[in-house]
Amino acid sequence: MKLIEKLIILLFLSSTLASCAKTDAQAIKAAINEANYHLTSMDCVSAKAALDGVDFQAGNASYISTYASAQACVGNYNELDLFAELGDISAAGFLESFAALSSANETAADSTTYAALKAAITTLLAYDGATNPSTATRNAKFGDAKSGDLSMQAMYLIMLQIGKYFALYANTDTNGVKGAGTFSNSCIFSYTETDSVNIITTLTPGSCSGATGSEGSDFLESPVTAAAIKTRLCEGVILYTNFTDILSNITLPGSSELGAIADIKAVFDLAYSSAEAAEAGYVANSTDAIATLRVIREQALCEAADLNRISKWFALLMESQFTTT
Amino acid sequence: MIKIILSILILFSLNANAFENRALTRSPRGLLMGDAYTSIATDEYTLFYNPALLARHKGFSFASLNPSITGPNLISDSSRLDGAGDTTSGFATAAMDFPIHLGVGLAPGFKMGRFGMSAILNYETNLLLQNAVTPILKIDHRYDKGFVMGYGFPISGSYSTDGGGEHFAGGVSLKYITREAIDNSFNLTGLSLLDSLSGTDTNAILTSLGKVRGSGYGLDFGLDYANGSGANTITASLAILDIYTVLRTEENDDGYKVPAQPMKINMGSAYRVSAGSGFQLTLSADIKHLEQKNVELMRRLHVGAELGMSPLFSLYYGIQALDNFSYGFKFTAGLFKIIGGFYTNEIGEKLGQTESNEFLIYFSFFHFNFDPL
Repeated sequence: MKLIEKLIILLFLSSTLASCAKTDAQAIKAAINEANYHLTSMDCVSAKAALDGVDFQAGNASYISTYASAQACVGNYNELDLFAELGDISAAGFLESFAALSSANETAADSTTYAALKAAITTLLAYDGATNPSTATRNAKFGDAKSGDLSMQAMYLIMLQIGKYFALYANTDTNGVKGAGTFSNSCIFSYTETDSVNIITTLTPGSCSGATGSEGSDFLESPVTAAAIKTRLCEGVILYTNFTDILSNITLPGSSELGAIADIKAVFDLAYSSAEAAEAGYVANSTDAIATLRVIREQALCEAADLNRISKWFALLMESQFTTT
Repeated sequence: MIKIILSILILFSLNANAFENRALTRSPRGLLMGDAYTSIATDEYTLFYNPALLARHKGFSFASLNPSITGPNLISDSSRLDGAGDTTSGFATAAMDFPIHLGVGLAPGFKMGRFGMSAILNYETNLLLQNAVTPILKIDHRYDKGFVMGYGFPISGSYSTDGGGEHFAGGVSLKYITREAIDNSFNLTGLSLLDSLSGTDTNAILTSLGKVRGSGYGLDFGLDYANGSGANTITASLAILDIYTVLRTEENDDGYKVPAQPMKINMGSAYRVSAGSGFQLTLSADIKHLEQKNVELMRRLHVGAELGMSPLFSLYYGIQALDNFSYGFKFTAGLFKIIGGFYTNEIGEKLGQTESNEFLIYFSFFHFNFDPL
């Protein structure tokens, strides 16, 4: 029995001396794995708690992706549901298509779902708090593969969020037709700025054929505060600019399941250039609205911009892309 | 002393999480006995469990062609993977939180006295899709080749599997491994996975998924106590596997590292009683991964049993990680042996989170023991 005792003593010594706790990298990997496990059953709280068990990892693409996933979980977001609808998206009318997504229905401003998706998108794009984040910056930081995954995750979320945005503010119906929803507005915004009024009355984009100051969404006019209106308008601007930035800086895979997504770039490139060209005829209050806002991808930067320019952005670009009636 | 050790283990279990089982190769018999095998691994897989058990061996043993195949147990859900290959959504529906395991292994080798040598040839792929919000596919693919050779030496006493006796023995083994591996996670609908799978060349696809190669040497160390008199045998063993195993990764553009073969400290004990005519009962228990602080106590515990009905036929049963059961059989006829059964592996971060149900089938076509003395 003395030999057994020796064995036990050796076991005790070896396990005491050799046993080791997890390294930081192992702890982060474990937090991500556990969060993914909880997200399988949509247990958003436990997933978030697992990820919060370690410091936020702004340099770890997998952590950022999973963190955004846990935030989107609160909005009951399911990427596969969206993925299954990609084949229905028309490149030519992509805003209408996004608004027609089955989970794009939105009837109140700043809903819990909208806020959850907004938080997830912000995490994916502005994980390190840097000014005016971009796909190029992510590519440089994480490499094309991991950055591409983050960008596509953000792209899917933005597509749905754009859909929600216009379903509410552009009053779309289930087919994504502007002004045909359950609200009464025929335009996104109630235009009062001279250039914007002239644009609408001249171009009459889709259902938005008048600009007397009352055609826009109730959620974008008084009694909503001016600050809140600008915040909401800017949310639309940066959703659009980040979407176009992503599609302009990644090469989408050749999967047939992505439908016509790759063709959207040509559509918004044309929309941008057409809007920039058209703006030359409407310069009473501001110039270069499209060119200036096109490169703004951060909410704070947009809110610092002139409201006249933001108004022109919507009149020239957003309203003009909703032409289906 | 035992109380002290148990107290330490319980203390460790309070902080339990993060654990991955990365055994180099596992014995089919051991798997079906709950992997409680550290002190009874006297088959052709000795060198993968405890080199000190070579000190029990006498004569010459040889195993040439002995493939084992493992895969997902679909018996209770046979239509689970229907439609999995049609679309991404179809795959996700079928595979969400359903571990998919495929493994093929060979361990040909010989033992001559207290020296043993075995080839390593093990292919294993594990896929796990989780996260219903943004589906993440975890790919753990390995293809290991190499060899392991070792020697067991009595420190005191004398014991052999067939002859009984008592000994306290040690053993060491040296191994060489070349490993081809993918250890990566992907967004199922993300750019990198969709881009990789859009290719047509298999090797290019694997490379784009992060396949890397590495190689290196490793060392194992073990201790063994065995006491057999009459019909009863008691054994107790300690194995420190991969006490120093370093795999060096070949250069690759993405900076991926080949998965390490980490050190494992396992302790096991067993009791065997024989009643003649090949009828025998073996009970075994292991406490595994003593090298890790953050593993639940119940996850360390493995227990198993073998009921030998005759020299030709045995039944196996085992439990690991509290509620993961294994069961199977062995049939031997001359130089031929077949082992089959089912087992469950615990693969989640915490106990009870994710389990992989798998089947096992093993054939040995030319296996013999020869003792001239």
